[in-house]
Amino acid sequence: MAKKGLKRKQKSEVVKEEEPKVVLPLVRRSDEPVTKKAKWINRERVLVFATRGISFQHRHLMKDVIKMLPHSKPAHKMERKENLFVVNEICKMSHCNKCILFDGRLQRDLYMWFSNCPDGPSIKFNVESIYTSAELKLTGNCLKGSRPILSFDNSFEEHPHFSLLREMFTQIFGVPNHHPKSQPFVDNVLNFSVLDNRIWFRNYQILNEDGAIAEIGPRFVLQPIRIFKGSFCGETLWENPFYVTPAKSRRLLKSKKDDKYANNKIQRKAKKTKELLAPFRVKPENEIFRDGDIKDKAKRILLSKKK
Amino acid sequence: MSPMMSTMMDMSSDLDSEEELLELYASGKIKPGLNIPVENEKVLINNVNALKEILSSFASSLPWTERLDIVAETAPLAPELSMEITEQQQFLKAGKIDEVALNDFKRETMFHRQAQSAVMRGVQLLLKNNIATHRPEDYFAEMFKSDEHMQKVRHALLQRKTALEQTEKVRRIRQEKKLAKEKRVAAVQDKHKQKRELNENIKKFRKGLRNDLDFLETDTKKNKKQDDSNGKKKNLTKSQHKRKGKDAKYGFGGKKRGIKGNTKESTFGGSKKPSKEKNKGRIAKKKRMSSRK
Repeated sequence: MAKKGLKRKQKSEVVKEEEPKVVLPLVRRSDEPVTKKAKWINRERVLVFATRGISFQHRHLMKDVIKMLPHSKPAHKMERKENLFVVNEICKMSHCNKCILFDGRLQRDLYMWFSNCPDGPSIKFNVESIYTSAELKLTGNCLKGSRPILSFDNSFEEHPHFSLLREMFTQIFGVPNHHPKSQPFVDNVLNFSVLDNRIWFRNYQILNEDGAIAEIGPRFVLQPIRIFKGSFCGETLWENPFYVTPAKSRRLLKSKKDDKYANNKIQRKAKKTKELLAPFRVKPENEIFRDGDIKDKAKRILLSKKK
Repeated sequence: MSPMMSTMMDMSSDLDSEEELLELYASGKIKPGLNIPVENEKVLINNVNALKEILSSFASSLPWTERLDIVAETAPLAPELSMEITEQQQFLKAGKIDEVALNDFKRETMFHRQAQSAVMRGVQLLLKNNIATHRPEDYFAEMFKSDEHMQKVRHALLQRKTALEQTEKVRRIRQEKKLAKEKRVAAVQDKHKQKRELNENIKKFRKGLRNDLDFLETDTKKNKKQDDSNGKKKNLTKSQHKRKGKDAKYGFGGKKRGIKGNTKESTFGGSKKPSKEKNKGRIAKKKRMSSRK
């Protein structure tokens, strides 16, 4: 029995040793340095909104963009009558220094404005081949509001206008560190690459650290049209030489079809005449009527037969 | 029509006066043989200095941990795939951009690889700066895509997989059926061929072109062999074995009528065997009787 008692005593001693570690000191000295709170330095705010006349797909794309950017703010749709310069005031009212404007035309074409709001620059893009994350059935997924790595193509360093675009994209799509709505993990990559004078946007999930990735969505292609010095105003700094307006491209396609019909008709006619003229198509007994005097020909034939 | 008409009118009014024509000629807009003024091509703006200036003015001076941007080259690939990639780059260099831009697979692999290399470099930098890349497993938060959507994705994937399996199965069955049919047709043809040969041989025999009847034997032998092989293959039950033995002993099938009745030979003693046997039997009986006595 004495032994049991000893054991119990030993156990209690162990517990007593652990206790002082858990308990915090009751008194804290005033001159002790306070543990630093993480600082939210990058106070970027992006206004994401649209004009009237965007289609449902464009609206869904906008929703995706808003979801990707926890530092974004929504706004009402803008009337098309207003001058775009009004956007600067809207931004100012909602305390935003960056702006993405979805400018839809005829529920068909989508233009996107990226702007650094009070004092420029601003860029106008034409958006092509849009696939929202909802319509793409891709396996990747990431936290809402996590900070993405922004991956840029080599050509973003080669040309001055592309380097400007790169800076714009990093400031708009980069989620600020320690933003209250953001998540403290980096688990996706936003991929911008230049191909065919367009910027292709892709969003991937980081599966593990040695480069396994899975696509999340959305997908879209930005074709830069113009870079302006001011925000929705000012002189043009750069213009895309390869840009063809969607309306014009549609018209060209249509005119090609017209040509196709005309060509077809001509070709059909040519074929018919060729068939008519082709000697092997004509009956041999009709050969006599083709050209020259018929009587002469007949006489010649008769002579040859007599011989 | 109206704008075209107006332009025509303008042109005609322009070209009417000789002085104007002379002016245009002097300015170089009209040349000998060319009597419509040609507008110079639109000058495209590319103000590089201003671009650089404005870039420097609005570029943020924040450290990399705030920006997380990376200029990435495309990641290297496995050697067997690298051939294709070099081809791709050659296309790009040669200005055949459409080859890559319009080919979904090539384009997407290019983007994928760029993102991969960005990840590989970015993760190193992040670890250096003590920024977490992985969330703990018990950390739950709202995701970019809802669970509902992910369920849909899973469902779609599964459906695609099952559809693929189904088509594969159907294809296999079709193939098997085809093979079986071929076999059947071959067997029928073989049978017909044998019959034809047999008939030909018989004809030859009848006409006297052939003296021996070997072909019949070979056929029967073949058949027998086939039967044997078939028999060996079959796993017969005990009763079936018994039946087989009895069939061999007593005969099987054929005419049963008139076996017991007298024939020409039996009555006129064509063959002595049966009578001999009968006699033997009688002798035996006599012997038996005598022995009893």
